[in-house]
Amino acid sequence: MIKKDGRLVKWFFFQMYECSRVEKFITDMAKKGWMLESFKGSKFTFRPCEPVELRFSVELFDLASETGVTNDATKTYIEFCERAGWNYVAGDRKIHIFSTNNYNVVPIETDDEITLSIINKNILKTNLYVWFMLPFLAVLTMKNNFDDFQYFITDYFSIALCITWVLLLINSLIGIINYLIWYISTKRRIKCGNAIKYYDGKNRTILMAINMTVCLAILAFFNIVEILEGNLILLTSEIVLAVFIIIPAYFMKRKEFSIKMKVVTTFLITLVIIFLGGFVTFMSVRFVDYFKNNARIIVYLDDEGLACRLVEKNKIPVSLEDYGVPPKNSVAFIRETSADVSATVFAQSYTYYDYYSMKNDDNYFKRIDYELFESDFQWVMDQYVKQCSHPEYHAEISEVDPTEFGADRLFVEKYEEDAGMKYIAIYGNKVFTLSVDEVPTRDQINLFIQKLNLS
Amino acid sequence: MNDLPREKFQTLTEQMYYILLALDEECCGVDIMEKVNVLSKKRVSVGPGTLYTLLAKFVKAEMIEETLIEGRKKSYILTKHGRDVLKEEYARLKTQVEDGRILFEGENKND
Repeated sequence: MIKKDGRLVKWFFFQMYECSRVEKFITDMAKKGWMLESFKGSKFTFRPCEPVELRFSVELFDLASETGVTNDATKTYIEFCERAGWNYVAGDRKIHIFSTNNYNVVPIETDDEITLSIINKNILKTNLYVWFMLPFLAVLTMKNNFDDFQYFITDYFSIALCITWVLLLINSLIGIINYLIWYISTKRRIKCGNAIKYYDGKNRTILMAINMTVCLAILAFFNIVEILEGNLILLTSEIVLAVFIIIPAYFMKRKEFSIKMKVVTTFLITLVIIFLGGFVTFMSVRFVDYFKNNARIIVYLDDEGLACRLVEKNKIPVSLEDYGVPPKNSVAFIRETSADVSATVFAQSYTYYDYYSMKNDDNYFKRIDYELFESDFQWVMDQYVKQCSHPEYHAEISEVDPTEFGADRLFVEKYEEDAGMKYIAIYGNKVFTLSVDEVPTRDQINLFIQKLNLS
Repeated sequence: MNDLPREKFQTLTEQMYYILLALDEECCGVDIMEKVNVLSKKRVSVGPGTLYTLLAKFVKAEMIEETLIEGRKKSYILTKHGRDVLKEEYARLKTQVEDGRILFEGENKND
């Protein structure tokens, strides 16, 4: 990207053990007539110059300030180098670049063991988060996802996030393995009396770029799936984000953008939009669910004063009336009915809930709570059944005769202090879960089998 | 991670050895590079980066001390401990040379 003042900005990503790549990059730029003026992180700024063949040296100075302020040690270090025949070009935090046109000048570092130990110390320090904390967070997030397997496997966004974490984990591993291989081989080289050879980095960069592209493609795919499934909040938010980010990027500064830069910017913008969009999806899905699944609230005055009631909103296959425990006729009651469906190509989960209680009678309440989980994938079923057959806290679980439910297998989970029970019936690729307060009758069980096509 | 190239300076690299030799007399930091060149008859060169790092390590190990500080310009000189380390290294190298001499002179005799 060429700026208005004629300077050229280029992005060049490197690690501290890839100094020779940077040297080659700025040497080639100088040959093309662009002299390095400054750099900050991966952003290199060049000014036009006569094409010149120079020898560059990219150095890691351990005593330099982490904040980028040129401290006394750095000033003295630069003086030392200048005295030895090197010209200071630019520096950012611990990395300093020198040049010379004299090929007989002594190199800045002449002890490879010292150089290697400084590189190693700084590599570990700067990559602590990416190499060690990120994988830790990735494993923790994935474990968390698997703990709530039913939600995870029926939610595209959770699957996409999980895949993203796996790819980030792979990226970290590539980084660690690459560095370790380089470190061990360099140590061996030095022991054998050979000079340090910096990592050329091509393979690692290509691998990581492929990995990040796959990561982006997966997120984009699931993002589109969410929109196609009717998530209007996500669509609106993404349009708003696109308008606010893309317009400034493309229209306000478009003259300064080269085609390559436009591609890179598009990539980064898309990434930001997808991540932010993903976050909004996460929040909106839950927000919409809350209002979708809860009934409408009506507030009114009765003999006892102000009362409220929640009117049934969703249709469910088996309601309290169908189940044979019809709610009492009263003006002051609370009724909550919810039907929630979440589905992916891997599994589908249907969760139904019907609850009724009297406002003026705390002892009178009725509820049924049931779920249907389906999957054509055996490993998904195995994982789900494994989680289902583990008792919850304060509960006992046992496998009983499944004949009554007409199922392949049947588990009964009983909660302490008569807090109800849960039946888990497995029918081939379906798992039916029923939570009730009293043991269901034969007719009640048959009702579920018939309405949910369980047999 | 041990960042001393030779653990606790038990053995010195050529560059370390000549830097310490150069500091037998008080010398300004930046002048050491030239002095090492002269002392080793241009056989050994110390890069400025390596020199800076080694000076800091020698000061930390109390083998040299700062004598004159004028702004950022610092001069250094060997301490007693530094001289002892240098002497030890000299004795070690002398033994090595002596062992080599016995071997090669023996070979010469056989020839």
